[in-house]
Amino acid sequence: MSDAAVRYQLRSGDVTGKVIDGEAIIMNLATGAYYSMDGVGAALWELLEQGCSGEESVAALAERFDVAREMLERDVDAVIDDLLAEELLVVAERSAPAAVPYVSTQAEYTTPSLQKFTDMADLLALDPPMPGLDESAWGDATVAG
Amino acid sequence: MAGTAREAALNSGLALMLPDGGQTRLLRAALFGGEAGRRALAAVAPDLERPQLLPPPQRVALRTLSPLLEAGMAGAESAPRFGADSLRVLRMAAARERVRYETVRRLARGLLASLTDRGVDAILLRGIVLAETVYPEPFRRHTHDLDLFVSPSGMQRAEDAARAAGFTERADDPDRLPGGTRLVHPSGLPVEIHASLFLDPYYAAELPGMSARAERRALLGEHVRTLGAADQLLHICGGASQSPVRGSLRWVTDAWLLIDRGPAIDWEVVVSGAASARLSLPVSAMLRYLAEELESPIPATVLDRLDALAREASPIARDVALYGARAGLPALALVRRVPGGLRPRLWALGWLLFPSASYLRHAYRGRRWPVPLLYPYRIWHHGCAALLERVRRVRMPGSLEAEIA
Repeated sequence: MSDAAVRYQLRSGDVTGKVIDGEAIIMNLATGAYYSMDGVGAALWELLEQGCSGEESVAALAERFDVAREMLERDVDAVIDDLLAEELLVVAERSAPAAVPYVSTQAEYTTPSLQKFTDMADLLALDPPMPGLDESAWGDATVAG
Repeated sequence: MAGTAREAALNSGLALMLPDGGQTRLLRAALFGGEAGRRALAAVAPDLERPQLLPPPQRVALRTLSPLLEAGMAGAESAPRFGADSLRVLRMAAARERVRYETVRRLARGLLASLTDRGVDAILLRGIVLAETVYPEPFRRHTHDLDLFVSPSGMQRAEDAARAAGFTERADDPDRLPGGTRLVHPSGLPVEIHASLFLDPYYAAELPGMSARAERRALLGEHVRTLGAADQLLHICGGASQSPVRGSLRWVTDAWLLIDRGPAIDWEVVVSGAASARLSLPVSAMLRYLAEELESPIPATVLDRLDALAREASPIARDVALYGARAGLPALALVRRVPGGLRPRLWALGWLLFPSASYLRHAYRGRRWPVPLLYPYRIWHHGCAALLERVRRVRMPGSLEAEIA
């Protein structure tokens, strides 16, 4: 069970993620696993990545979606637990974002879930080099805050 | 009549170096823009619903085409209906390449700076040059390694420059580079330093006049020399004609985008270069494929002149080209895959078992044996190699490339 006031950041160096057309694509380069969340999950990913706590994320999502607060809190909590368990996020000492990001997704509310893909080797070119996120444009997000 | 049948059989054999129908559909979807691109994307959408079930050649191609396909989808005005799974694979591939390319670019920049510091006169080839100059975004070309061309006298200084940039020789490197040097960065990125443009010494080590036509341009913050557009095209086709990893189809996207987006190509240089480098057979087959299947704007007169040169090719040129066409394939797989029925297959089998004497002298130039002894020796040599390859595959199953072979 995550603490609603705690903030998070990506695990530096190994994890990167980006929301593309409403789908969060997340990579853990240390394990080779790929993750995806769409709709509400993608919006939640953006909020957490930018430094919102669980509490602030719930508030932002509640403004956008017509859904029972209790259910939203439970769903957000579950996703944060999954992200921590998969070592994609770590608890971080960081300040709140200057403004809570606006949730712009057009999706209807569906229970967010983190999908994990470990069988991508046949479909992606996986030859080296791969490490070096800290120097990539995406890597900037991993050290934000 | 026999001449025509032989010609058809030769064309069938050379067709093995070209993409098949499924791969061509993927290429159209990856390369075409506008309405044609939308239609091509719609045509592959059902195939991409379950990418794991695609035939192995298409899955191998998808690894490198995904970032381009993803760009095509993003750019399509009315996007074809793709399932969530296929979209996800393409996005993951594009995301991975975007991150990976940052490292490739940083290492390339370090290498180029080191070459400049030491005053090494190298020509930067292929991958990163094309990624930076003709691809819609550089990361959309999967750049497997860095390639340099230097004169034999400059080889040592180029190696020193690469070592200073962090590249080292690996004793356990399985991919040795004949006639050149291959060094590998601790990150895993290789640099290949070539004294010859092509693997097979039958083809010219360098294209006549290419050094004079090489262009100096700013790339990654350094001033580097790159091949002129016509020479790049010949290098792409000639290199792919001998490459066992042709299935990535990078040669097709490289050549297509170079013709479509690069500087104007001097077709006279292409024709004369193909003739003088003895590349007319593979180049004519590959350019005709680009023109006919992928609508590359290659003048018909150029294709006709290359075809005429190809028809006059010597037996050794034919055998070198066929050997290149079967690169990565066991000999009997080549015979099985030659399209067009029994007769072309028998011709192909005949050429494989009994190539020209001039080819044998070229292939076994280190051995001073009488040619009649080379025929049985060659069959024994290839039989042992095939056996070893089979053992290797049993020990290391699961590779897509092995499935294709």
